[in-house]
Amino acid sequence: MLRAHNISYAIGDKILVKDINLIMKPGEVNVIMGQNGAGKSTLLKILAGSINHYGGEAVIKNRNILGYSQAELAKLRAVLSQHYEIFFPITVDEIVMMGRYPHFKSSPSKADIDICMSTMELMGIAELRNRDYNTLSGGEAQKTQMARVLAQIWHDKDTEQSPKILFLDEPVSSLDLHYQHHIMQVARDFAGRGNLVAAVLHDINLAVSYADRIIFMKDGKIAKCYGAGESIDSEVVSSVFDIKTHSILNPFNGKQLFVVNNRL
Amino acid sequence: MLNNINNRTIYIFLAVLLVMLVVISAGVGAVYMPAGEIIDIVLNYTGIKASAVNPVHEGLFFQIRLPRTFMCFIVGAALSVSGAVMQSLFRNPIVEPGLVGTSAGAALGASFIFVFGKLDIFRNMAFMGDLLMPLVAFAGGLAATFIVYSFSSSFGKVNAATMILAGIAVNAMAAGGTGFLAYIARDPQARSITFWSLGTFSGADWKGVLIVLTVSVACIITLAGFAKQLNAIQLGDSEANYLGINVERMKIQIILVNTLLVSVATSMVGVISFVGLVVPHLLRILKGSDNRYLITGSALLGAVVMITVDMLCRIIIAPAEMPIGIITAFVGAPVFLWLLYRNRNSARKGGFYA
Repeated sequence: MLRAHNISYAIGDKILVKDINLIMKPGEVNVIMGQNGAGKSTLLKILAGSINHYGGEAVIKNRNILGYSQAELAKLRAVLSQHYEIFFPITVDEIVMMGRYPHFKSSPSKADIDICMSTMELMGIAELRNRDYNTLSGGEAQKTQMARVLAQIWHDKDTEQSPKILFLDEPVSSLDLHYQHHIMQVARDFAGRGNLVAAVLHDINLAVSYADRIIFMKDGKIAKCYGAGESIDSEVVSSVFDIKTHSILNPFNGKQLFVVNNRL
Repeated sequence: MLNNINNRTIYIFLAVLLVMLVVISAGVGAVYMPAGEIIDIVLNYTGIKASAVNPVHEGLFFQIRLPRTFMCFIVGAALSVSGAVMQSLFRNPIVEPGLVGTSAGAALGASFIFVFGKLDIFRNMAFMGDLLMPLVAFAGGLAATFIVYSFSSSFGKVNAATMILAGIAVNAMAAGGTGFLAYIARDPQARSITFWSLGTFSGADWKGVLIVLTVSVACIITLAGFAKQLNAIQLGDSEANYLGINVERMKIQIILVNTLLVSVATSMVGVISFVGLVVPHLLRILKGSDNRYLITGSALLGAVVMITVDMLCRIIIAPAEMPIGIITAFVGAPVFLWLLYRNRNSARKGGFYA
């Protein structure tokens, strides 16, 4: 569904990503990991269609991303970023309704309102819907934004059921444990309904818990890619993050759990 | 915030207030005409009910008071909608056409035609007639706006502080230019240019009303069409982009329409600052910042405020009258300081009106 073919991107002499080849399929949660500056967010922006001039091509549903109009892309994929700053008072439900803006002209239909209600309930923020966004805690604010991006690509009964893409760019980096898992679980469920999720995460254990595929990046290139069920080599993790790691068994889910030797 | 009050209730309240103010405003001034007399004049004129009316008062009403009141109505709406749109577009609570140089640039353009309009080069443009001055004002407003915008934006992000500073510089430059024109102009013209730099509605006539009305209605309807996109841009430029909006194109379209709106109004009545700043904030305090509500609300409340302030100008030192810019500055500048104070504290308290 989403394919990167020989993607390279540089600003001046600085190479941000180089020779990226990958395929992402509907139903999967793909997590991109790597150090700060490894090119993760840049790759995500290219795949989401917000960078225009790069080498190689990014293809969604057998069509080059650059061939889509902004309006078409808006109905096909949504992007959740790490942080939002809003300067004027605006209610939670209006923020969530923005997710439906690509779908209606001047006023929302009954279906648009229902979809917003469903995603707000899913994120557990329905009671906050008349609150001013600026008075929310960091976790509540990010859940509001998650409800918004979900509303943007939500399947309702009447629209076509083709798979959508959810991009998450460090969505949980500033959140506490509970919120981190809540947002990742919702993303996981969203993928489970036949959609594609591509996320940049910093926490390797969060990635192991929720990802079908983990893509490790280093210095703008893909260092190693692990599919579902493949065991991750702790040497790879150590070299990607420049810190000694070791994996043990997570007693809760039987998956790998990475621990770090903090004596650098 | 009054979340439980319907937008429509606010609009109806403002509209009723507006109709009342139009009648009162038409009656107030050096010669007082009570509402009853105004109704008689209107009924007599339209032929619904003949009655003995004072012909001097009738002329005063139709040729002076009524166009003036309508001019206040339209210009108030235009400046306030412009303030609301600019604040949303630049995601900045302290911008308005007067502060970022648009009005001053337009005034410079208009005074240029005021002083040099009789020269030979402009004879060839005589076919444009009364539209020449608004058009040159638009050119001046556009030049000023783009200078400020290009200085304050880098890599698609607008720096609010730089924008205000660039606005100060462009305002000073345009005011200097207007002052120079006043200096080299012959005396009666010079007097009106000075008067104009503080704004006045005393010269309003039906021709001007018609021009401003046409342009303002077209521009405000166009801007209202951008309301949804202006909401989306509150999330940030790239987020608005993810919602399917071509942000760069939208910004240029809005700046063009907004500058046209402000320039044409300014070419008729001069520079009136702070109305565009204050009105949208009153509405936000009342019921949030959805631009669909802000634009409609600003048009109504802006008209209410402008008519009220113009009445004050006519009453305070009657039979003379005060330039309207003096009162808007006295009321608006403290509000501006209050906004700065709010803005400074907003990060700490979380939320601009928190």
